[in-house]
Amino acid sequence: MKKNFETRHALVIARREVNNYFNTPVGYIFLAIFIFFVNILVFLRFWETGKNIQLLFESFHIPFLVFIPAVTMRLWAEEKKAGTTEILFTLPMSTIEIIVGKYISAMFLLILALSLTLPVVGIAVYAGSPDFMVIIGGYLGAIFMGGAYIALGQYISWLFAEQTVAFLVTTLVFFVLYATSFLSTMLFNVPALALVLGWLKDLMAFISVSWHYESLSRGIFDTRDILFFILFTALFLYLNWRSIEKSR
Amino acid sequence: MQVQDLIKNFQESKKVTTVLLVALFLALNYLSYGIYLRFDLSQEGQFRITQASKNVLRNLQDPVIVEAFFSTDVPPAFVQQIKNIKDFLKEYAANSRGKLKLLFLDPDNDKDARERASALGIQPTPIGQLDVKKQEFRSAYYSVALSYGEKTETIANVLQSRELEYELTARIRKMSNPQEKRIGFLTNHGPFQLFRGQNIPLWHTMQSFTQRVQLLYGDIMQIDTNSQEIPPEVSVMLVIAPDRFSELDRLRFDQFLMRGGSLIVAASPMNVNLQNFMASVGNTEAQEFLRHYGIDTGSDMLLDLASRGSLPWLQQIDFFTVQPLPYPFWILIGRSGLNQEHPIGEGLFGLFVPYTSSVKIDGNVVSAEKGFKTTFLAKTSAETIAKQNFVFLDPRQVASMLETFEETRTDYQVAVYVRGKFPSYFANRPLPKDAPKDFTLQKEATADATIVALGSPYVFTDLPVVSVIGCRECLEANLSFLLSAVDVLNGMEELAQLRKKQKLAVSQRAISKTQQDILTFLAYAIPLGILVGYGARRVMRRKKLSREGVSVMVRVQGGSHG
Repeated sequence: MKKNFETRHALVIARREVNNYFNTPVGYIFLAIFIFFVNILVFLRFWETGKNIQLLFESFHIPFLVFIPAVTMRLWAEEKKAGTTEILFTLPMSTIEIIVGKYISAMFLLILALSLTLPVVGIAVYAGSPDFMVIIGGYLGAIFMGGAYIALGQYISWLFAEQTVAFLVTTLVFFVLYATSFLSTMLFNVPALALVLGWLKDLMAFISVSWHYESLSRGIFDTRDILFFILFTALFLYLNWRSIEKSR
Repeated sequence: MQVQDLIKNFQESKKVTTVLLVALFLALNYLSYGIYLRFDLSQEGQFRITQASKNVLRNLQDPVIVEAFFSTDVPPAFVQQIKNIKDFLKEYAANSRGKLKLLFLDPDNDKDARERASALGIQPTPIGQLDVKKQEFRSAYYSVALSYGEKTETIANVLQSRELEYELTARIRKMSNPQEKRIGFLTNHGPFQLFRGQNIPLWHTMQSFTQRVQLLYGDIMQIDTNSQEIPPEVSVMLVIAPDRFSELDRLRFDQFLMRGGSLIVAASPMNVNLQNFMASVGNTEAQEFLRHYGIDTGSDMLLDLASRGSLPWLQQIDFFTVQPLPYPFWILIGRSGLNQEHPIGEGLFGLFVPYTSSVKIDGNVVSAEKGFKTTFLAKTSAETIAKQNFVFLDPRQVASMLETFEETRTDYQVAVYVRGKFPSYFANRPLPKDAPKDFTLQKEATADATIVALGSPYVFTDLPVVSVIGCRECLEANLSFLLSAVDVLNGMEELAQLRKKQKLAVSQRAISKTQQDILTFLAYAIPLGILVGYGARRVMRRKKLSREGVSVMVRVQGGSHG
């Protein structure tokens, strides 16, 4: 097994994974459902709130909780179930190249999904006067947030042999991460819990992915948020690598 | 040797490395809060400090102390907002070149801070949650106090602050500039009121404007010039749709202008009756008074056919289609219609002017040669009709009315600015009979006076919130325009610059319900069409490749048989 990293090897894996998505209707269905839900959430209030483009970026949160687990669940779990993991590791590629390749494929799907929301931007430009830096920041933030979720989802996918279980666990974990700020509010509202767990709320807000996305989606580029996403992604890609290495 | 083995084992231990990495993740994130960079590239510029604020801060004689009282234990829903406010305050202090000292205090855990807050009159804000230990409802501090010398100003709840930078800079400017300035309002002269009340329609109340202007200038003084003088501390007088303007009123306003006061007049000779939906010429006394100062408000009502103002009612176009009723009496002036070169209009995005008359500057009375500065502030589009003396305002009759109109279409000014030393209205007139006996007329102006005249009093009102053109944003646009005018007339042009930061995206394009449905449909259809198209192309390509593969196989097999 190679130890070094070659980008072309990662890209070969990425291409194979992307083809897998689109060789069956699954990839198309995921994307269609994502667009459908995003549009529903946007157009619930879009015309009534003065064609506010911010709604688009706010609407990514909930569809991400389902879309990304659907994309990442098969990254490892399918290989494990089909028994192709060992074959994959016999290829003249390093584990890191394979992990990064799979990650790139999921990121490609994410960026594709986001680019399919561009008609909403077009409508906002036609009907109003949106802030272009908010649009750029919103998409960049969504890519960072999605990238962090994908790294975590990919790691969880390694832990399970069943895609359904991987999907459910990932969705649950994402929900907890997304909702930590709401959960901490709930805890805070229960007096007895607030006494015991009050100190937790800052930490819970801090690890909430949506908390870090909020500034970016308003066109504010803060190194703290970007660093959080990069470190979060790197940590789970590393943990994925560690887990694979350990199991071999 | 043993130590080296230990280090080697330590490094090779996967568990330890993993734990170390998680710790590193947390530590780096924690450290990043000490050293960070932030670029606010949004139009709104929440974290950008404007040059106006920098100038005010850097030109201070003495340092300003900003004490920020924030409870540590706040509801999680406010954590992000408080972080943003703290970050903003740090940014604000960093741009002061040492002229602003920032202190963060937690009155919940610091007795001195609690006492200091109390001394400043700062009380915690109830947050509606029960404290189990104390068996009482909890409250938290979100306040900021500014001290300059012996003067202090407080912002009781910064979470509710819409324009924190404006509020800070305005207060610092106010404290460092000892001249007290007040705003006056001509009361008992018409239906328009500063506050909402029973039996006062929304279109006659100026509550939103009043609340905002009072933040900086204190309570608006209600002055009836029929019975009292304009106090010397009043720098700007508001005259909104007066239903009369007696000789005594004129005398007091004239003398106010002679001493260099500023006047904002929003009045039209046209009396708008929204119960009967008609407008006709009403009291023209204010019109006559203004004419003396070179401002001519027309006895007309403007209809801007290019403006996309519309009413909350829908009209039936055909069996399937309804759309908002276009209403050209409600004029939405875009950025291009505002004078961007004047500090009042600079950087603003729009002005909503319902039921307005035209306003002209009479060059024979006030001109640059006579030492006056004159300019328009807002004008309608070139597709505007002026209906003279009488007009029906019924939205259902607008379409038929427009067919019969033969008036020429052109642009009209609806807000103007005139500044200079005006001649006294009473220079060649006798004093009013009811003038005080010992009254001494000042015939010559001692300082430049300013008049801002608008053709519609409704610019000041909360009317935009009842329309469907938007239009909380329209109300915000109007407030920005009016508050900028007040700031500029008070000699605080730099504060008006701060208003550029506000988000005033007044959309110029009206989208009918049918268009909305089509656009919404496209948002669904375009991506789904792309997906289906790409999928079909891919399937066909794969089938083709598959067929080619079979034919090659057949040829290969046929060849081998041959």
